[in-house]
Amino acid sequence: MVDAVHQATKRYIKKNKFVTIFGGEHSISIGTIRAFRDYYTSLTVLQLDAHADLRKEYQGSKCNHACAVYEASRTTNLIQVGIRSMDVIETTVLDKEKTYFAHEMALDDTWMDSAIDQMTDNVFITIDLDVFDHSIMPSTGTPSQEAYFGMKLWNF
Amino acid sequence: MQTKSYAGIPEEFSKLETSKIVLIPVPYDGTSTFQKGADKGPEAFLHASENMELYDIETETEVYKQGVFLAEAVTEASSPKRWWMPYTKRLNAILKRTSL
Ligand SMILES: [Mn+2]
Repeated sequence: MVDAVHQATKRYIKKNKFVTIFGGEHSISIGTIRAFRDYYTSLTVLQLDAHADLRKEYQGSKCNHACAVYEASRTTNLIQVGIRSMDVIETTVLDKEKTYFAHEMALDDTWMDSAIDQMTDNVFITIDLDVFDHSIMPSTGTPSQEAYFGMKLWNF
Repeated sequence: MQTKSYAGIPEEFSKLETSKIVLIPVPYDGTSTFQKGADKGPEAFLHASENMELYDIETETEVYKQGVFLAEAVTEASSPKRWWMPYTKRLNAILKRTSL
């Protein structure tokens, strides 16, 4: 699946299109990000998600949805926004300077400018819909509460 | 995938050659561990898009006029290897031996 998505994404980037991929669960982003890396140097990956998704491996696979941005964390400028759920093992991978936790975002809006300042010119955005509070987005694989933002996130 | 275009836009705005934007559906749900159904996302998204206003208030634009091509869905769904595979093999071997 990862390879198939990688190839399909590449095919249309090559044609100079603005490529948008929609799933499906978050593991589809692994191949997608690979394709963008093939064509853009110093790529920023902006991840809007309730979960860190930084596991190197989960349930015996590197292509699990829980591993969606592990590779990106090693190979791109990864910025994580809205995070409120993760495993302790992911703390060893996570870059605190470029992670905006939901509980901190609730205090003030300084995270917006800070995150934007950290971006390079080429930004790939990956949105896991569970970044929205489960009152807004209940029909996801792993809904998550404690997120105040709705319109605010769109504004960002 | 039943839906053939995004948001029911006119054909002149949905051809690959003239579209600036490409949408690639990936109806894949191989590894979710809690609520299933992510594979139904693309179809639901496209279906809902048919009933959406095409004018965007905030940007005062009609983005579809840039052209939006709906690509063929990526349906290759071979799953990553499962952690329990070795156990299944062993169990099968045991079952054979004991002719259950
Ligand atoms: Mn998530």
